[in-house]
Amino acid sequence: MTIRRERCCLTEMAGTLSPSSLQHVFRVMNRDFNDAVKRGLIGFNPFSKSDKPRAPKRTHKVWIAEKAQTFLKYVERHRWFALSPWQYLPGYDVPNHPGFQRPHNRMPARWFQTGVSQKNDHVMVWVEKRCPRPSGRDMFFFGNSQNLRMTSMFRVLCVTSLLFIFGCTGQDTSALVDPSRGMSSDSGFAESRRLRPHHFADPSGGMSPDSGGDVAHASHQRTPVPLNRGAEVAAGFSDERHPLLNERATLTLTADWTPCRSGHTLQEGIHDPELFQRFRRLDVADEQRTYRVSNFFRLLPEKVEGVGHLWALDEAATLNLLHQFHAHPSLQLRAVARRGGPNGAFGILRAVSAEHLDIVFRIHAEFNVTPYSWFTPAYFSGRMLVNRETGMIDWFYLGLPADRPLNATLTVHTPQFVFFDIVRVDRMQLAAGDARLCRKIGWTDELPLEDAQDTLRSMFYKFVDIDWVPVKEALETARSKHKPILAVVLWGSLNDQSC
Amino acid sequence: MRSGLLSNPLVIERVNHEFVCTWVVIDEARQLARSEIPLARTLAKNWEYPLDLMFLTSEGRFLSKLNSFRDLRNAHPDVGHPPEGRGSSRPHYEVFMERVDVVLNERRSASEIEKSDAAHPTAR
Repeated sequence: MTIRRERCCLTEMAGTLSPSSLQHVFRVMNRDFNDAVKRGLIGFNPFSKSDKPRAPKRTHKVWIAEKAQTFLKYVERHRWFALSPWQYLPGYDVPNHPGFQRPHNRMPARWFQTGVSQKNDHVMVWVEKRCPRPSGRDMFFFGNSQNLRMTSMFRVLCVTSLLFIFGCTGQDTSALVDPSRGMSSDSGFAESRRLRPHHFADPSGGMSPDSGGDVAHASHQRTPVPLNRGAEVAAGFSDERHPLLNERATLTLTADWTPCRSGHTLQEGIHDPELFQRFRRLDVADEQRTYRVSNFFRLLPEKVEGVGHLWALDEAATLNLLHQFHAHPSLQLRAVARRGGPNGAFGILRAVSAEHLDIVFRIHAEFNVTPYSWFTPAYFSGRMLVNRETGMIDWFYLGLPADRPLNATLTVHTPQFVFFDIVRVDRMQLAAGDARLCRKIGWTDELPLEDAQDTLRSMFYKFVDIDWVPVKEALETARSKHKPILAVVLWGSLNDQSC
Repeated sequence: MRSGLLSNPLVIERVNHEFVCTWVVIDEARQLARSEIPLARTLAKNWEYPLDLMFLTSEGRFLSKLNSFRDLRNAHPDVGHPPEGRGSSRPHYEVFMERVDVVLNERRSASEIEKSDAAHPTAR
């Protein structure tokens, strides 16, 4: 064997073998000749002077929209399709896929984790497969798509033999991941597609959950629900320095958010529990955050008038606080399949004394948990005790009321269906200071707290003009007035955003 | 519902005049039903997902109801409904007022019959 003969050999084989086989042959021959040299059978290894054959570098090809759609159409029939990460992406109806049950029966969903993370206008779609080994340790695979641009395509790289490489639609979906565009369903993807009928959950079993329905069409402009705000309700403070507060002071708010409990839809198995997991994982963004008191200026009125004075809170100041809960708060309620809102945030002066002001808030807000999934609290109720002498905030509270059995709505939207559930969250609050302080102050003028809250509620809803009677008293009142009863019985609360 | 039918000034005026109005979440109604509150029991028994407007006599007897999916079909485009919840152009206001008229007429007839029975116990 000479160098020349060896090169001829490799050239001949290169015409018939694949690059990887050629590499394999080269490795074997090189090792054998090295052994021969060591044993003194030959003088030198002819392969040592040769260039190692190299496999051509693989490049990921970008699929055009038609090819991606063909591929998706094909894999939707595959029995492992339900394990794909589509449930985290808009546009795929995993629970209604006929193959959904089989993989889950054989292989628990917890073995697979998928997710979407975002940075600027890039998205990273990742898949993990975690299989328990006999030793008890998890085998762990990880794959990611390395910052693929959403504007060109979705691509999911799955590293296990059970999962696939997916292509995507090629549509402009940058709105989904661009935080400055609010991750709204009203833009981007949703606007460019006509949504198909969704399956609407029916926890009572009274109507078929399998019956189709219409969700708002993407092209449809959502009509804002009008506020019941009167013209007398002015905007709040908008200047740089508020005379009531010491701008150099600070206030540390402690946040607390307990996981939401499952609602009717999940309890009755209408939707896949996996859809609910993204909400179970919700937790505060910052457990403690220190604010300059100047951050609270714009939650105050322009000037302090009498008890009962109402004003609108500044949107930016309100959102600043809500960011302690979650990175994507919004005061525009956009969850689909319902008429969210009215949007707004109002404050009322509940009580005054020589030293203190007691201010009550009501805020309608929503959180974009992921693109196309929303957590909508019933509303946030707030209290702020302002010390007029020190310019400090002696007590602050902003939280989700827990006086009703259900107080938050979860929505996940795909063109095929809407997962919608009303759930209970035991605690979701920001607090600082001592709540008992409020009771110790000798108020010179005050409104009962319930009256203040009713007044704030009436800023949002016209229907509160109906003379509602508590259900426990309705029968007695009807008997005494000889009037029939009109009862509204519903799944979630009538006077907040949880329904 | 709250921003549509129940915020209509004519509806507000009429229900305030004609009815004792109450609202309850179904979970609360079921809890109250277990506490032996008869009205709550009636409401829980007759409820259908997702929202019912129920009409009852002053004694708490169930008369009639409007289900938001089945009867109030002209749903706002922003609201998700199954097909049986759509397909009608009749405004909610019309459907509701029509049912109120029926309920009130039935109630008057019933009370007239009761009065008549009381005045002439042997007539029937």
